[in-house]
Amino acid sequence: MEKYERSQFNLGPQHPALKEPETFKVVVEGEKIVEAQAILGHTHRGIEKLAESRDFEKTLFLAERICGICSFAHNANFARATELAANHEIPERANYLRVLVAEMERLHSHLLWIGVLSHEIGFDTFYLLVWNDREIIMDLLETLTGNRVNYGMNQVGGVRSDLTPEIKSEIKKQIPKLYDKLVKIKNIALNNKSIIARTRNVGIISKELAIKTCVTGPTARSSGLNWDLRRDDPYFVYDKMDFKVPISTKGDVYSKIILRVEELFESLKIVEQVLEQIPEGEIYNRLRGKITGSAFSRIEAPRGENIHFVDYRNDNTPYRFKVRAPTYANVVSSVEVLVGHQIADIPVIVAANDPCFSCTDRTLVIDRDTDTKQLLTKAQLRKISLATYKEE
Amino acid sequence: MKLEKEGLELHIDAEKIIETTILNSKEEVIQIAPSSLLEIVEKWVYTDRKIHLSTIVGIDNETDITLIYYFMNHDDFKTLVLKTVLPYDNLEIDSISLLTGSAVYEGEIAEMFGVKFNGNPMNKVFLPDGWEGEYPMRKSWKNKEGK
Repeated sequence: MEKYERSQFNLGPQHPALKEPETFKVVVEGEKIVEAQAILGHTHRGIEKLAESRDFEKTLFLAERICGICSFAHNANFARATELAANHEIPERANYLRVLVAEMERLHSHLLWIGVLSHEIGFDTFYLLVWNDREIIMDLLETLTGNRVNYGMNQVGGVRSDLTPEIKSEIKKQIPKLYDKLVKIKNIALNNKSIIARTRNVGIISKELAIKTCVTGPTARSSGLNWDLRRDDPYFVYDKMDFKVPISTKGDVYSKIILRVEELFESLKIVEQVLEQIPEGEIYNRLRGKITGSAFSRIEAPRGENIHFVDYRNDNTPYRFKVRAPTYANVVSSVEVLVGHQIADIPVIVAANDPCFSCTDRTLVIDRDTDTKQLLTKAQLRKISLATYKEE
Repeated sequence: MKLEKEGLELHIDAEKIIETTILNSKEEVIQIAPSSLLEIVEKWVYTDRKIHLSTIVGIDNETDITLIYYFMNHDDFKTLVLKTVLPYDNLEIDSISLLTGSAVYEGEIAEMFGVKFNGNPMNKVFLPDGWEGEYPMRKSWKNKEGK
């Protein structure tokens, strides 16, 4: 076989195959990847540091901005961590509502992922089909919370908007419709030849590698780790819900598709159960005063184990707020499995973990004057843009 | 401390435990000396325990930096929280990067708090190139507006 010379290229930070800015430094021999490295940090916003100067009511909204897709997972997790730190009970109805929104978010997030993956393999018809069906869920989320993204649903001590009988019947009406759409999506996703050709036996994460790189969520479950926090460390009211945790042992991208499609049906089942079981009552029990204590809270976000740690020292501003988003745990594994694959497989393998780099990059304040870098004010930016467009 | 399940417990020798406290979220936090961390984790990994490292939290207490390691056992999903305190004059600890997943968490603490992890290949995760000698997550660090 012909021996190729080694060459290195950077994929990203701005690249059509990546939906968010992230750099992958890849060394190739011909088309074959021999070394890969991820460079993180392009979307740092300094949320952990910022939280140290805001009280918990404001930090709650800051936490929501960690991620645009699974914003509810971060928002609810921060609220839960603070409630745990303060030993504060919340009304049961609020817990049910949190489960409801969390599962609706999982539905839209998984559908989004199936769309993105089919787009990465060039199957745009399916991508648009899935995203069109996803609108049903987005509309329901908007009806219930008032927003399509960043729902602003939680408060420390409960939730903000209630499930009225009208909204309840609207959701109930849409469930059978959504179920039919999911069946259709499942048939295409699992049987289409193009999808199978591009994803089967691609990017295999073995069980050993999964344990060693500490992966979470659907990535872990597709590698045979039977682990779902909703079942194994129940929070909110998941202990009252009846659902299955699908697992797969293959570890390739195709098994991740099967897994997420199965999870869609389970989430829909949970939504139905919440609507049946939800008790009447209050939705908000306000937390007042200063808090002393620290707490870990971990919940199963659509992408996996999401951890928030808070430490309050007789104050209502966290002394320390730490976030570990699921992509942060999963990105190491996707870089390890790139080796041995072709360049064309990079988008598929990277997308397989459903990466959310905004979640991953969140820690730092980059608001600094150095000799070479200067931040532009809004007025300056406006001036530049006006000048640019005038020229055209 | 033992997490029991048909002999698959995670074991820490009693003489290594300095103090045990309980968090408000009910986790038991076991304080150990920085020097015994690697030995404990090595023992778990090499005896084929399925250990998951969820995260490492660094807290700056202005005289010392506290590291909290949040582990989980894949056999019974119980958590195990280890805490170790590094005084400002000796900010050094052995890396546990035999669990590959720990590298990014250690790297983040190295750049944000200035803790040296012996044996970790990664010491820069998020900060831009050329950022040296300043540790932004320390309480004493202020941005240019003094916040």
